[in-house]
Amino acid sequence: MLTTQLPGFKDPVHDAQKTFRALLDALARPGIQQTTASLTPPEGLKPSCAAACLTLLDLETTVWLQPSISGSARSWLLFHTGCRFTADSQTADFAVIDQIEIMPRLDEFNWGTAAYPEASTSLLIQLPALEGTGSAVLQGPGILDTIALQTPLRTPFWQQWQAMTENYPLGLDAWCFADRQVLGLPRTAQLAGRQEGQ
Amino acid sequence: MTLSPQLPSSPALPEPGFNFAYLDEQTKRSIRRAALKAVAIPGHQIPFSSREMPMSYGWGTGGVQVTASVIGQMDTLKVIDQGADDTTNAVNIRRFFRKVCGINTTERTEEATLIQTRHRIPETPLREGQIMVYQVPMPEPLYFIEPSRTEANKMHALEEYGPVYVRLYEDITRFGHIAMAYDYPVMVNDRYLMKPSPIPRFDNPKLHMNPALQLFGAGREKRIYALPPYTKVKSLDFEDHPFTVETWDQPCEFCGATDTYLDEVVTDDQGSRLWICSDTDYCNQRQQNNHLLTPTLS
Ligand SMILES: [Zn+2]
Repeated sequence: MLTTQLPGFKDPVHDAQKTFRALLDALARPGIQQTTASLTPPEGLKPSCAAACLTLLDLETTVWLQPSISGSARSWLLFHTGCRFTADSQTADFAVIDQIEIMPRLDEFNWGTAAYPEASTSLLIQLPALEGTGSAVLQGPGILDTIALQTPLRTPFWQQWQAMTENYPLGLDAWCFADRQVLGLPRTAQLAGRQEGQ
Repeated sequence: MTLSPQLPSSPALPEPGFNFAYLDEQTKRSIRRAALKAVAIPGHQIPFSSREMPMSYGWGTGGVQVTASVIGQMDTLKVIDQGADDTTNAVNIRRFFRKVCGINTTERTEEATLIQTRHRIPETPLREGQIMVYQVPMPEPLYFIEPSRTEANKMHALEEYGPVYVRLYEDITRFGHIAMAYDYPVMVNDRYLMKPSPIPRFDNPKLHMNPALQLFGAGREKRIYALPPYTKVKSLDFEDHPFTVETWDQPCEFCGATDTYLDEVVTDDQGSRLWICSDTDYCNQRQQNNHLLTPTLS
């Protein structure tokens, strides 16, 4: 079957709304998992990440795909959203990542400008699972006191993230996806402590 | 023989001829992207391409567009105007969303998942999971100092808020206090100066560390901004002139509350007047509870 014949949302209006609320709640409550609408994704995209793409992308958005992402995912996104692709991570509104170990450094994406910090890249990070053996403690807006995560994100990511948050309001906002779940990491989420797992 | 299908129980269907929530999907996506950035940068205004709505500016088109982009079939909507659910503005907006979404509506703060408001924050404390949408006439707190949008953006970028403090202090020198009763400016997350929309000063403390997500929509000025739950919000003040809220010498005439925002109501042409809660839902619930309690109290 051709990739483009794979359907998008079963109910485009309400599935996009449900997924938007999951993305919104994820950013508003960093560290708390949310659930997107379900769909059958193309090879290379997690269901929740595919749902986020259908919800956020259209002709007005420029997308950077990590080169490891399959051609069928690319043609599915083009067919269903009409988004533009770029090979330059600095010009991307959204970046889809599926191998975090070999992703570009965070400062290779667009952090916005002092007057328009919103003109930044949003990261859509696909993970095998949202739970992992590395612990991170976050604080910031959306978090009452602090929140502890057990996450597969490792030291190199958190080091870069911490360096990035020192440049607030410049920075990146990220969502992590696995299966139908999503976790939000707005640029305001500051690392208050962490410990590498085994 | 064929079995007739069981219809799932759902709220009233929206009227045909409209996309759900009136806006087309392209417009919703663009407003949604702006709202997500707004949540990620609390208090910072994000431009969006505002659409024509079937109501005029001043009727809350910014709030209506934000609500239309956020609302879903499972939501229960409450709409208030100056604290009341039954004013023309509130009734019209509630009717509009019933018509184009077929969703449930309520007047009770605790039953609502989504609350669109003009000029008040409910007295009933909001909870996690609720979303407040504020109608904003004028979003830029620097406008009275710097009318140019580009220059105001630069001032926000540099955190150049000194002139605002100077202006407020001039009030203190002239009047002995800060004369701003509504839309009193706040600092969000120690970074952005923000206008909370024309809510009374009384409501400012409720903005701080509120468990609900608060979204602000300005239709004419085409801006969206936000306060995520549990965000620090500080009303501007000075060490020798701390921020204070309004107080009243008498309780609410109807429910006896002494801790709510009261409206003055003129009751006859002799100028007699009463003070009553501006939040009608809160006041009604208190009156019902008082009524139930009366026999045991006497
Ligand atoms: Zn009352």
